[in-house]
Amino acid sequence: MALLELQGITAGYDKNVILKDLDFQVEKGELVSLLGSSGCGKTTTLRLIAGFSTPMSGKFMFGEKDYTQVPLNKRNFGFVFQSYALFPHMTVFDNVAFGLKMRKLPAEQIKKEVMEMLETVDLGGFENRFPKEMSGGQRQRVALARALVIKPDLLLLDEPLSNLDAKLRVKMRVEIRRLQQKFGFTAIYVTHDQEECFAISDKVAIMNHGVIEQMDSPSVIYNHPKTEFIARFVGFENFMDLKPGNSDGIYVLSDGSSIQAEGGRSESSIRACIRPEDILIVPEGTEAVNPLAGEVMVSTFLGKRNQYNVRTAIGEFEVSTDQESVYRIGDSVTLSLTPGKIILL
Amino acid sequence: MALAVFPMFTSPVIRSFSWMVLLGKKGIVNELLVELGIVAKPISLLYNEFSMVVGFIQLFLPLMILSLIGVMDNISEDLNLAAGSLGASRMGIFRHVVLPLSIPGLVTGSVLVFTGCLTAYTTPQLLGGTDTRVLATMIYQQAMSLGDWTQASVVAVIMIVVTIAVSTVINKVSRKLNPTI
Repeated sequence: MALLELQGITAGYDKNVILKDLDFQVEKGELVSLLGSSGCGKTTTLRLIAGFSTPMSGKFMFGEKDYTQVPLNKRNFGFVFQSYALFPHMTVFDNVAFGLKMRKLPAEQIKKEVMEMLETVDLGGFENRFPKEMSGGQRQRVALARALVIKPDLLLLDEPLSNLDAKLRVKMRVEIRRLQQKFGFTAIYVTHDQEECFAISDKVAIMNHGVIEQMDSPSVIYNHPKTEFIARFVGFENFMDLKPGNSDGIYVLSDGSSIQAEGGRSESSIRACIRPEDILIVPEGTEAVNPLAGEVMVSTFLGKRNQYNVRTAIGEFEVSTDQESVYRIGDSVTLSLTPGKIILL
Repeated sequence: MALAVFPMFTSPVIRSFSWMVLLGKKGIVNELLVELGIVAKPISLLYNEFSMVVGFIQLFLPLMILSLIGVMDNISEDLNLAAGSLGASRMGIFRHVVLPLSIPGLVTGSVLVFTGCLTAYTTPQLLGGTDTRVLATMIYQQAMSLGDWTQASVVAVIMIVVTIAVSTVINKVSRKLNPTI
């Protein structure tokens, strides 16, 4: 059985329902990310697990116990806030020691554990500073140390890196992953940053309008999105409607021409998608697999790559290529859709 | 908030007179007490320390509330949740987070209320009667009724010294509770 299990959770504020009948499971030792745009319910889910709010209906099981009504201070979960929420009137030492003091551990043990934890997050020697005397990245590490020193059964992180600059964010996410693997704790990580989330997680749950659309490992989500929402989220820009053709792996486009794609499907209407970088662009008339004739509408120089918006008989396609040759607006071209890269939704 | 500020719309004189009406021998409070059988006959509620303290509370409570609202509103809810998730009970959160972070407002409020009470003249004069004298009414009595300006000046100097001493103590204590002020 999973360590953590949300069963049919419905939650919201007043009449405004944010989570609808949500099911969610996390195995022990996993780092699971909740990914989604703002307002999708990811933070609500996290706060609910933390015990900051209670669901309208549904059950929250943790370690085979019903945690739905367990008060916040009895859950033994660590929480890292977006705002860090360090106690401004306490030194770094007292901030980190807070949880242990609440557990009434002997002073010597508190001192030893806090100092060890500060060393672990690379903040040795900072114990007498106040939070306002530290940089964003250092505060972030204090917040992490404070949540970890209580040896939580579950670590919850609410967009912990969104207040840091880009370089520090990459450094800190490696740091979080390192700590997670060192201590082997189970963690739930909320973010709206796709790259960050794919880099750090064992599993990613993509949320949309209060439901989880897909939960899988990052590579599965990246390569095999299940819904159009997720496909758009992970960078599929081109969508088309297909009908099954007369043999397996052959499909008919809306303009009547047929293309090859992997996977046998027989529904009468199939939505398919392909990434801009999986389309080849060649001059008109060149021999190509899955050819689509079109005209360049917009040409954008992106440094390493060129991006073209090409109008075809079945709609506009976005193509991104690192080829040397440059096409101009109005050029007639042929697009070649790589068969293995066409994803059927 | 509105309830706290509302008394400030009327002058201290009017407020003192209202308390006289309420607390007198035939006032509504005494009549109620007799009616309910709590006391056998009307008790003395007016022109003593009790009525003076009641007047002061009504006069200065809004100042304290306003000073506290300012700082307490600024305490992020996340801090309370953080303390809770680290295992603090509601009392623990109040003692370790809310109280220390409210110290600046508590200091401002205390100084305002203390100096206000010390220097108030109308309220103790009207509600305190002749037996309960405070420093402010004493100065008036010495100077205007008895013409003893020396005595009045001595009391005035004592008031200044007391004010400075108390403010210093309040500041010292608050710094101990919240070292970041």
